[in-house]
Amino acid sequence: MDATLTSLMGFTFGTLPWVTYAVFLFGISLKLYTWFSTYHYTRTETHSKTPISARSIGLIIGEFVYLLLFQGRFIKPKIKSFALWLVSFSAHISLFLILFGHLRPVGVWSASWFAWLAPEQFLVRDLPFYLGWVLLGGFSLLLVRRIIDRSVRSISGFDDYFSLVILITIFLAGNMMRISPYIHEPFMLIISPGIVMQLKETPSLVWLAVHGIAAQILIMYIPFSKLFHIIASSFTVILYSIRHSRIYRSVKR
Amino acid sequence: MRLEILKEVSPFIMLQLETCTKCAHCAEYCPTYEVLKKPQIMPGGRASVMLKIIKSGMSPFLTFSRLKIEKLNEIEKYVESVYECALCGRCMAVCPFGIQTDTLWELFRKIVYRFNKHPSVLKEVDKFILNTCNTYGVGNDARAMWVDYLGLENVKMNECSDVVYFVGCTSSYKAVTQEIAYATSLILNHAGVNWTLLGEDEWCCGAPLLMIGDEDGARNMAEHNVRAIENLGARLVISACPGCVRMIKQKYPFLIGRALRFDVMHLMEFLDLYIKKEHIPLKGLEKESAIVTYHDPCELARLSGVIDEPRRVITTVASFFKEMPENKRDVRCCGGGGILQAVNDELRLNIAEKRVKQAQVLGAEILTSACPACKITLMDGLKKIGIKMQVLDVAELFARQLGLL
Repeated sequence: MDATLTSLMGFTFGTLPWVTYAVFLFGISLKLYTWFSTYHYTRTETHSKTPISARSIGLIIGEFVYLLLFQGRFIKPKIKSFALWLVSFSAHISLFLILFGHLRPVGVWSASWFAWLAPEQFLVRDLPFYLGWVLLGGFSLLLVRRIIDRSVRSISGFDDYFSLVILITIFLAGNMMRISPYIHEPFMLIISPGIVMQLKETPSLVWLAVHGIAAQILIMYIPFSKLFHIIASSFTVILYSIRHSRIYRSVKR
Repeated sequence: MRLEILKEVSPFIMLQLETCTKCAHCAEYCPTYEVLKKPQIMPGGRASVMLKIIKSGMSPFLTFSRLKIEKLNEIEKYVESVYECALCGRCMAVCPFGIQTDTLWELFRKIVYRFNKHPSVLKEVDKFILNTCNTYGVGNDARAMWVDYLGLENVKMNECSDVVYFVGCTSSYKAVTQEIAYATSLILNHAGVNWTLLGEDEWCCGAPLLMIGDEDGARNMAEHNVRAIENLGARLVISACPGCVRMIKQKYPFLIGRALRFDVMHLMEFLDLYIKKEHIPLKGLEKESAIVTYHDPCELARLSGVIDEPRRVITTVASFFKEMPENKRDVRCCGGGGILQAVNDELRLNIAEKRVKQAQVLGAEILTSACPACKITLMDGLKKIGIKMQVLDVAELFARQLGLL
């Protein structure tokens, strides 16, 4: 490893994470402070006569799963909605699986646990490879949609494009790590403050650095952008599901 | 001034606004955007405008906001986007994050109202509702005149009863919908219910005032109506107007700061229950043989969850029932809500046109609904495109088939 690459890796995974954590925490604190600086909170008190029953809990869970996990609101007869669901759902599911995959080299899980499901080689090499392209394709299509669809474009700003570009950069760099030549030697990546990733092979370190920098820019950007929905959407969906259970106690979807 | 905006906002509102990713899925389903195609009309666009205005009320240090609240003209630019909305809640029903947009738009209107930037026509409407206690600006002593016009007999007026029939302004004053009030009264009598009208003690439910943004006015109406109902010792309030039902049931407790001492039901819920329990005699019932369809009122179906009940009532009295497309929770608005008629009537008619065309394609002979505002709007839509189709409220259809009308 030459000196430039060494210092790039040192900066990306040694120094930058501290900045990332600090900016992220600052952003979240600022956001919460901003929210709670709005002091009118009394009228959210409920006077509902319908307490949450066991049946309601079932409805809440059902609606939560339908909305958040299946992104069911996109499943409509309109072709545009269905296409959006297809792209968005496949891309998000791939993203979650790939993020889960990142925990394996950290030692959180082992491929042998899922040996009943598929061969180890498929789980650690082939599946992430395909998912990576689904992910890249999906988010690229979302960017194309934002550019060519008049309605979406009319309400899009810098934040909307930048978020997608940075995501696409991360996915592209991740995929490039898989398709560019790599050395058949184990590689240990240490991310501050001591997260160790044990890789069986050494990927292209340039792409690894691009992947790492872009991912950290994304994390820093989350509290200041619409990417905040990654955190907030669970809460809005839960709140809606509770309301849903109160209104639609006896109604089929 | 800065704090005036923040008074209306809560962390719950901020959470909702900051979760919107501007995916614009709502654009595909918003009835007003479909007609006007203006970005600020689209719910996603309106949410970002609203966030911008709210943040302008916060310290620039906190929000990096460039909009200065002193520039009140900034708000004026967005006023049309706030009121050119039917408040149908379809954006909420299609939002992938379940953002409760109905709450947001109501709040946005409150902010605009607080700054006195609402359209002049709504200033007039607000004024005469507050003065006359009804949405038609005529004396409230004329509220029960329909009883005499239509020759309804044996009606209790503001007397102690188990049930209060809350007629609502539209059915009380508009000739074309007074039939709904008449049919409802006949049904209640037929079912042997001990009921009363509030007469001139019935004030506007306050929903139009909330739609304008005048929460204090709406609270005033709510306090009066609750007092009037509770003074009669009624245990149940029935109305054929989904707007009134939703307002009383869902909004009054928040407005008056306590739970109600009575239950509230839409006529369709009541009828469904009485048919199920065989409390209403169906002797002499003649089933309608024409093709009947049903337009779900947004306030009743999507926003109150009353979906199956009207269908069961219709199929009790009609042989051929056909479902409209875009129905139930996902109903396409007819344009009759959100005080749109006062703000942009052309827009309301354009929205209505699209809905009645769906009924036409279906081959329906009778288009029913369970809302006086929907009835008027659907009739106007049909008139606009010159289609002849009978528009009835389910209450009218039911009373007619029972031979009561």
